[in-house]
Amino acid sequence: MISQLPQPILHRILSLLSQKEAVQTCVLSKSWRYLGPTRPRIEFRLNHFGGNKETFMSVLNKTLQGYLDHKLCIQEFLVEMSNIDSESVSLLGKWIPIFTRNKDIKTFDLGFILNELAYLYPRYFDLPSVVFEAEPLRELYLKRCKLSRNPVLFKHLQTLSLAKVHITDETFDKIMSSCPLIEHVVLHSCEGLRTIKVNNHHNLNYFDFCACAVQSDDDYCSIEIDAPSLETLKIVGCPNWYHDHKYFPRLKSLYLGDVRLSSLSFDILLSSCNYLKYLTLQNCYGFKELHILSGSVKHLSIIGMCQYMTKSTIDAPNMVEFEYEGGFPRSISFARTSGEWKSNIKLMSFVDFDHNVSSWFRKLNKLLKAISRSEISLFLFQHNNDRQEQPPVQPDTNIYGGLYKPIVVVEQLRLSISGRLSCSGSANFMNGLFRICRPRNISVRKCGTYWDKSYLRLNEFLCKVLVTEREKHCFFWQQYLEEVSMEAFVEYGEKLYGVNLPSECLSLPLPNILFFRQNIRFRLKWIEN
Amino acid sequence: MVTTDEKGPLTAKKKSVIIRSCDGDEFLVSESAAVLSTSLKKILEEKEDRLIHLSDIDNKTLAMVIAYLSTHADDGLSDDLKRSFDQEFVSGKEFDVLKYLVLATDTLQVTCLCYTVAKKMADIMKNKLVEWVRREFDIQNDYTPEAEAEIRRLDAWAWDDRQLEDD
Repeated sequence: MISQLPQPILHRILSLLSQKEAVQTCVLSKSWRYLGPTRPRIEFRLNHFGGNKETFMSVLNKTLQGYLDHKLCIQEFLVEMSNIDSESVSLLGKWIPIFTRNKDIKTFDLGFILNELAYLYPRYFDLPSVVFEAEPLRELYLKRCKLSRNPVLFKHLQTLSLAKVHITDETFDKIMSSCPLIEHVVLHSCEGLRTIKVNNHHNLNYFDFCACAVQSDDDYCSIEIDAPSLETLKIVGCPNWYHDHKYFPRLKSLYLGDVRLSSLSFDILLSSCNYLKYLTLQNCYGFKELHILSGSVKHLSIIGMCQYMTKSTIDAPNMVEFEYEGGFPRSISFARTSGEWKSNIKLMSFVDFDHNVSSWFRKLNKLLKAISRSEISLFLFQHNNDRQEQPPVQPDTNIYGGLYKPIVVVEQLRLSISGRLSCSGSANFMNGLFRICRPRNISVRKCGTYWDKSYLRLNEFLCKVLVTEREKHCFFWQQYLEEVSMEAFVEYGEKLYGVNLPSECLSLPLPNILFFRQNIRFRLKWIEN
Repeated sequence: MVTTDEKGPLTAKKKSVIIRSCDGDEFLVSESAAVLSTSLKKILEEKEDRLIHLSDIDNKTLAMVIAYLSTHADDGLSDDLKRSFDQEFVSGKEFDVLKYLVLATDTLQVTCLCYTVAKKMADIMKNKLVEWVRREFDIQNDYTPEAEAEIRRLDAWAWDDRQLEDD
């Protein structure tokens, strides 16, 4: 029944499959014999060939020859290779002119993923100028290419995406000024750009710039972008972003990383964005106090900068998610928050638990109090220096003072500890933590990929004090625990998927459970007090 | 038959059109929705007639396309809502329904919907065994086993990791 569809529609459907899947449709029936291999799209990526370069090159060559022999059109040309060696250069040098000269090419995507032998080969592929003469081109994606000064003949380009591309200001200007319809611009780690100026593009809605690793201050690129139609703006690694008197009334998502801002200019910028939903600030600098005042922002992320600000004030009544990453903020406060919001805090600190703990816990308490109205997910990354074992601290010595009341409820507590962690260190840490917060779920994460000892030790410790020896009441907080259960879980991205542990599992030594690549989560029910 | 009222205000005059399916059902559609289809837009630009007869689209398919067009013409809905509508729109639909939809959207030149439907159809085929696709899409295998083996041999690279699946 599907075979009744006209060929152009079948080709359109087949163009949404991978090259491999499209070729496989050949065996369905005789009428399908040549449908897949004649679709107007070729997509060859070395990793689809399991990295087998020989097969990759010969199949690519054969396929392109087939398109040429049968005068088939290619609208979408997507090739991803590895090193830029003589073989790949000659193959591309032969075929690119043939398939870009026809009137069909709409998408051109060429990239190189350099492997460990990359230093033997040139770092950039000299893109044949014929690509710039492909008039019907709509989308251009390049990775590891070098663009020389060419006449630009395409006028309908909508998407330009350059990653690790060598391009001069002039060439970039030329492309931009030739393409008034451009909507989507991505510039990642491009070399050679010093000054980017974008204006008079009324369709531009997406602009994403990420600087390459720079050697000196002179290498920084400055950006001036005046595009009121922008909906997404991402700038990373640009001290000189000229944004005074620029307005982005349609902006929905703003991501600024390593950008110098002034307090005043940022306020003005924010106040002009009435539809801004996603705001991320990462290591931005240039001001001492951070004020975020926005009625539209729903997702706010602040990464690695609050610890340098003397004061951070957030007034975002519609915020539903707050993300924070870095050291302890010096001062952070939230005005007018919505009814329900979540906070996701990732704290990195490098202070020993055995050392200077009281000030660490005071800071943690202050932070948790500031976000206590939200559903808290707290991730503590801790690095312990390899120090000598401390003399054991008596289980309930009151070195941190009394309970900090009211105690903040933390929905998810995740611990990731590297380095040496003594048993007394673990005990001190838990004592301090449970004076401040009541976690409902606790889990330990590995640091790095290798099997680390502190991961195991901390899990064992938690299992002991929370489950097996809970009734012994060695610690003051054990009396407040009503119920503790353990579950194994797997983690996809930020989400946890629980698997109930069979009871016989609990009698196994903990390392056995952990060894089956299962993580353990402790679910805690506290007595209301 | 709707006639244009020359004296009426401009907005009222151009407000809606009637689209008739091949089986005779008529649908009243706002013009702002109709023009999202490139071919309907052309028809409306070319002739005064407010009644458009589509001889190759049945009423069920047309109703779906019109629901899509009206949703996308609604300025009150956010882009996010429209996106989730699109997902909802194609999910759970039978393959035959999708087939008529892809044909209709191709005729009417509703590019976005045509893409969404084609994508859905491609997703159904993705990662499936040959036998499954044949059964599901009602494709009669007219190859001899030898001929089929020969095709697989010619494009051996495409079958590398699939040997087990067809046992």
